[in-house]
Amino acid sequence: MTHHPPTLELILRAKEGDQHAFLALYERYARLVAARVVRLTGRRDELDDIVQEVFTQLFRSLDRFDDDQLFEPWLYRVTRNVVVSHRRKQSRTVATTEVEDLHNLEADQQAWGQIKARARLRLLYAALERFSEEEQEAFLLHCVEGLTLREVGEQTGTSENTVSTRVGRVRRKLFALMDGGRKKIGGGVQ
Amino acid sequence: MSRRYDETTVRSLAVEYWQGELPETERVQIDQYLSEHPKTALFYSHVSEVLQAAKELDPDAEAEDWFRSRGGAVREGLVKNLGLDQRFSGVRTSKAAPVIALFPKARAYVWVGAAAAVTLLAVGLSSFGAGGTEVAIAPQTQDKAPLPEADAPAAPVRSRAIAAADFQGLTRQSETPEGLTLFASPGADYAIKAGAGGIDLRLERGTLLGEYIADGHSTLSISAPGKELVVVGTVFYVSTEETATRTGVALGAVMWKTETADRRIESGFKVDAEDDITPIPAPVITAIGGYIDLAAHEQKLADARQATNEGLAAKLPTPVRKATRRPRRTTPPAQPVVTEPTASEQAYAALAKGHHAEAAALLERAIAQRGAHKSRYLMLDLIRLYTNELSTPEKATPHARTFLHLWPTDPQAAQIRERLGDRIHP
Repeated sequence: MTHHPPTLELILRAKEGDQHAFLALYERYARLVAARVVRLTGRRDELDDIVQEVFTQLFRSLDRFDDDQLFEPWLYRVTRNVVVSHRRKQSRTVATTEVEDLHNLEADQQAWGQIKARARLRLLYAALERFSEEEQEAFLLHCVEGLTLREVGEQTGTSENTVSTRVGRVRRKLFALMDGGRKKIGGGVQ
Repeated sequence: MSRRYDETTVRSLAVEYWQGELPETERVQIDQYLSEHPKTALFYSHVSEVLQAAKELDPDAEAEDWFRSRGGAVREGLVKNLGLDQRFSGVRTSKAAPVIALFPKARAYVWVGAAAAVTLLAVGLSSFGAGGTEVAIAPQTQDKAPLPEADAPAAPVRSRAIAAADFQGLTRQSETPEGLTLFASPGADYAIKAGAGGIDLRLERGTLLGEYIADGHSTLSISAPGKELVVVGTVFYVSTEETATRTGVALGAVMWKTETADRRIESGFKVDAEDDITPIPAPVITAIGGYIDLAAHEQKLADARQATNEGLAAKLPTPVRKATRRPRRTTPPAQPVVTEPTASEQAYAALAKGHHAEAAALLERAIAQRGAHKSRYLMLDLIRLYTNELSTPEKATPHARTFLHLWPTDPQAAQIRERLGDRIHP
């Protein structure tokens, strides 16, 4: 008979220095964190660094975790902060078609479709960077993930009205930005 | 009051238009504008492509894939950077077997009351040690002992995907307890023990496809090497090979317990040896349908539910009275009956070929023929088709509303509300 420790139990034990419990938290939540990073950045090539940083932050701030609060929203905020910090550290490179993509140009239609999809994603995320982190997040969760405004509010700890305002701002301007950038950023693969 | 539509306005509404969030009147006018203004239509086409690409990103699948290939290395990095004890890295040592359960036995009544028809597909294996990804604590050791070691994810060894061919040549078994119908693969090695508490089925090797209707008092427990299932009111199959454990649900939902966590597997999904939850291929559902009439199974479940409810109602004034058991319907034929393909069969055949629009039209027809109340899984598939494959969520909306009205507590209901909530409750 096995027992699956609730998350809170793992947190409490990790707080007391039980390293097994901390690593169990990693095993349980690494995928969730990774999915959120992909959602926020549109790419997976930085997952190693970001996920490791998230759990490093988590390890160092466990003492500040209030046992009464929900873990997942807290983890979500830690993840978001790490993503934001990571972006700031990075010198963002202009999205260009990768060399391996060019090698793939002779591949089949599916590969070509994937290349175009990646290029489109780069355009989207490059344009999104003109907006605040909160606006990006609201837009992605509502317009891409399909969450309702209320659900986005619950997940990000803001009111529905605030979410609506943020989404509206991005909606109105995003594609104007992309349309301007498309010619120089993605023209090669359109 | 009519709104003036110029290029700036249409562009600013492009995302809402793509999301289908605009009122019908506004949508029609934008349709008209786009048809008359190729430049703006090109812009909208670009918007649509980009958003579709973002939508298809599938962060969960990306994350799962990343975790399999890189999760262990990152874990090692954490151990090193945080100065954790090196003993905590490395290969899993926990020997605890994972458990699959449709639901706890104690909740059998509740589930039969909910009456979801469930098709369970499970391929057991001889050694499941690498299947889980998290840790469990033996209750008696919780206070002092450390958690069993969590492992770095093993190198991915992809198990063979379940296929319709796995269901070829199954033979109807004659020696089965009441309520249980079994079809076995050649060479299947299994044993059945029926008792007052229910039926225990042990599968050592091979594949079993079965149909079971619980009466609310007993359960069907299935164990295969490394796996256990508790089945109540389902169509299911269990199969044991050396290298893979896979489970799937065609109708309803199961709670699947491993040492990592409890996970709910919902209608139309399967879980494989790598813990990936993915849709069951339509041909597999069709193959199962060749042995067991899924629509009839739903009706049987409804009968069982009614019997249970009657029994419970009867119990209220006189608690000692036993619930009435309704006579069971005849068991399914030993071999698939060859008949003209129904609309739903044609639909799934079209789906298997990737003809999504045709499949949707055929599912529409099948639902109309059967009636919505008998078309739970058809409706689910149709909603999925419209939202996931055809990108026409507006067509899914009326079906979603009907589904939520008929089966508000269905495990899929929450997902439907999440995906289409704004449309269903504008």
